[in-house]
Amino acid sequence: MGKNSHMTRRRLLRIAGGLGISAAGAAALAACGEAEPQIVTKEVPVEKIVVKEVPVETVVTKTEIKEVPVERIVTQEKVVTKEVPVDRVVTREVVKEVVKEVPAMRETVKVRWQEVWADAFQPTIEEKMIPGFEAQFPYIEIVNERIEEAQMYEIYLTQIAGGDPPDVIQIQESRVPQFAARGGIIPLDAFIGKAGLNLADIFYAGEWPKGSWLDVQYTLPLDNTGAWYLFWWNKDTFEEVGLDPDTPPTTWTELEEMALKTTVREGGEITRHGMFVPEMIKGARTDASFKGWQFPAGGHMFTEDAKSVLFDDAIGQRNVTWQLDMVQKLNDGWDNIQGYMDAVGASRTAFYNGLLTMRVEGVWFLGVMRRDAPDINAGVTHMPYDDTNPNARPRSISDDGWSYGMPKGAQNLEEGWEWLRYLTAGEGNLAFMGNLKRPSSVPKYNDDPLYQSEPLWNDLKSVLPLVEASPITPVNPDIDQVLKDEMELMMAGKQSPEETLASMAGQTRELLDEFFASL
Amino acid sequence: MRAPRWTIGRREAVWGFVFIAPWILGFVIFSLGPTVAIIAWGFTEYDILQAPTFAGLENFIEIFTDDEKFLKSLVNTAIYVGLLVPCQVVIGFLLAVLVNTKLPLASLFRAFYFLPTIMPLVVASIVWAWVLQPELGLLKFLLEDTMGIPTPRFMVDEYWSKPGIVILTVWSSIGVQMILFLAALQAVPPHLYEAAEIDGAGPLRKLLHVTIPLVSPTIFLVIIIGIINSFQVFTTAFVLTQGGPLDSTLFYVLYLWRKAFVSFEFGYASALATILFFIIMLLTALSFWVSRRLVHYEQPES
Repeated sequence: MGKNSHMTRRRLLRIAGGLGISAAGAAALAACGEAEPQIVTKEVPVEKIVVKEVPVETVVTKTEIKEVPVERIVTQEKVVTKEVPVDRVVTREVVKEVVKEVPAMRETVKVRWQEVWADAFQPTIEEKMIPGFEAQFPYIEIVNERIEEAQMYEIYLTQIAGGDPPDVIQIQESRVPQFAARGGIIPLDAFIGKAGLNLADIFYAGEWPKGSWLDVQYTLPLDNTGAWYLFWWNKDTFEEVGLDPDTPPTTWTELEEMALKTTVREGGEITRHGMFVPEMIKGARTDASFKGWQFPAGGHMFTEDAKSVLFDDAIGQRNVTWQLDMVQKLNDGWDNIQGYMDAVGASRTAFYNGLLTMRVEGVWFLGVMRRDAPDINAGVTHMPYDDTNPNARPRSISDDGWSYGMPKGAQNLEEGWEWLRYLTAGEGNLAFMGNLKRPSSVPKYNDDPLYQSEPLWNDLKSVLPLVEASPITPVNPDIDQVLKDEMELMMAGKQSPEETLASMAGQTRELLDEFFASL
Repeated sequence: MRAPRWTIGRREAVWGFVFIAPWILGFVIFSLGPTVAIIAWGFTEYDILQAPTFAGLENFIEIFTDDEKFLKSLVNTAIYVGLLVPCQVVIGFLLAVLVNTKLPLASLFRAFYFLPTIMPLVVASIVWAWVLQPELGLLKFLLEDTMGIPTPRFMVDEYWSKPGIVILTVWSSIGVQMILFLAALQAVPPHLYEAAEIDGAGPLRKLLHVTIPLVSPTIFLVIIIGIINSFQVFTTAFVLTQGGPLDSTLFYVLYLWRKAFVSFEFGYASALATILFFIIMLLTALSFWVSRRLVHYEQPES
């Protein structure tokens, strides 16, 4: 017997080991592909097949073809049969057997998903989205664990700390860097890469970067809250005072003129306001008013790396001074509008009832307005810009919005990712956003016939590409609180615009420096 | 050698422990354990997402030397407690006296006054937000728009925001105080009133010299519960004002919550919670000390 034909024990073990590793690799790699791969490990004891059926020399040859992705043996018969004729029969039999048995053999994986959507949205979730997804992925069962929005972060944090987080969570993009910088959320880059997704091709340019931190993607966006700051006006009031109802103000000068023109004063009191400049997003967010006007003023908030303050400049000063000035000119002082700056939405009610002609709120306001005041004749466009600054232009920014991610400690990453992908880049996004009549983060979905019954849809859609993502810092909520407090102090006459900006910038710098120094 | 037989007393004690064991377990797991953990975390830098690191007294030093909002929130809370607790005692007592009469429909009124207590505080807060809304609210419509009476600008005026929250809290909680006082009133022996009447006491003297001394343990209880609860005010401010305007409703627990779940400074928030724990303990001890002179307990005749 020749030397080569002798099968030593050591060699047999090497071969078996090699094939075992290959088989395990095949299973692992195939698990990432389209053809439900893990089953291979369980169902096909490759070692056995080889040892029994293939002559030793041939097997040696085969073990040397380690570079051939074993995944292809399972999923792409042609490649295998072409390249490794020895294995043809065995492999083909195995493939057939595996493919046949996949649906029955795969164990159901329960993906825990926590979301904060209100009652009205639950039927869409339960009757359309989850069944739609489970039809595509029969081995995944979505467990919808709805939680209260006001408590969401308490719940997430305690679950993560307790080692029992869900697999997928709904999270505000304004919180993503805060979680990411502390390791509270899982990076998605590996999943995105494996799925071959190009986020820039899928989502609006102003949307997907908000789910990242230091160039790593942590969440994918659901809605286009991109247009966080949009300008809404009452066309009937415009018409009543002789303004063209289809021509909203595009500059700060026009805004002032039109606001004054639509203001009604009776007996020394204002009975109809043109505009509350510092009122945004249901009123109680003066931090938002600073950020919202900062961009059409031609300015910025932070550097791209979110480490340094950029608003401490002449543009920022002009922003705060102008806002205070407008409150005096348009509303006769803060006292006259403070009553509308509440959390229950008095400013919205005033807008519906013709007591307020123009206001700023995000894209979601369209659906809210249609629900609360379906007959109102309103228009929507981008924020007017500061025409005293030659560099200013119509701009809307976004530094928040809803997204989905996977928290630290999530158990079912592969399956969770599939659900996350379906919710954001997949059909789940259209099913949800289309039903809500709110713009999707995916441009192509916004062309869907689902939206066409909304008369303002095309106006709204035309603003979305103008939206830019503003860098979000890991101490974003604290900075928002600082901006809100300082703006309120200024409006209440407790400090000057100069003091306000200096204090905002100083405190923000301190927060950023402290955080980055702690890393 | 035979084991000694258990006495009845010992058997009862054992069974007693068996029966209260679930409570003790619950107390240790859900109250004592977390309290000890919070106190321990107060000495750490902890963001919940990463393991805590020992920081010694750093949090406490920062709280007492470099945190304006700590003092502001403490003062806001103290003012709120100072406004709320007397209102709860006085109004709760008066309502109890009212529904304790033999007037027709008295039992209906009891149910009516108790009804707000079962309404979730979040819902009550939203309802009251619209009632007190300074521009479009019901109160303004009824008083100012209809009768020309100027109405305070609750919730948006820094001086009226706390009274606004006190009104809401009294409305939503007064049923509990009323029931406590009602039980105490009904426990006052009628013969004492008869004796007082024979001595020529009128209604006011009976109230001052019979009723109030005999319900003083309940008054004390309402004060203690009021102090403990109102120091932990959170929901109303969270829903109605988020601490504004100008931080005038930034109450202690709201500030603590912000530190823990908005800023992720859980170690710092734990230190704040520890301080609050000792403040409440101190106030409770003080109340007990004061009560020794003012509260009358019925003593069995020796």
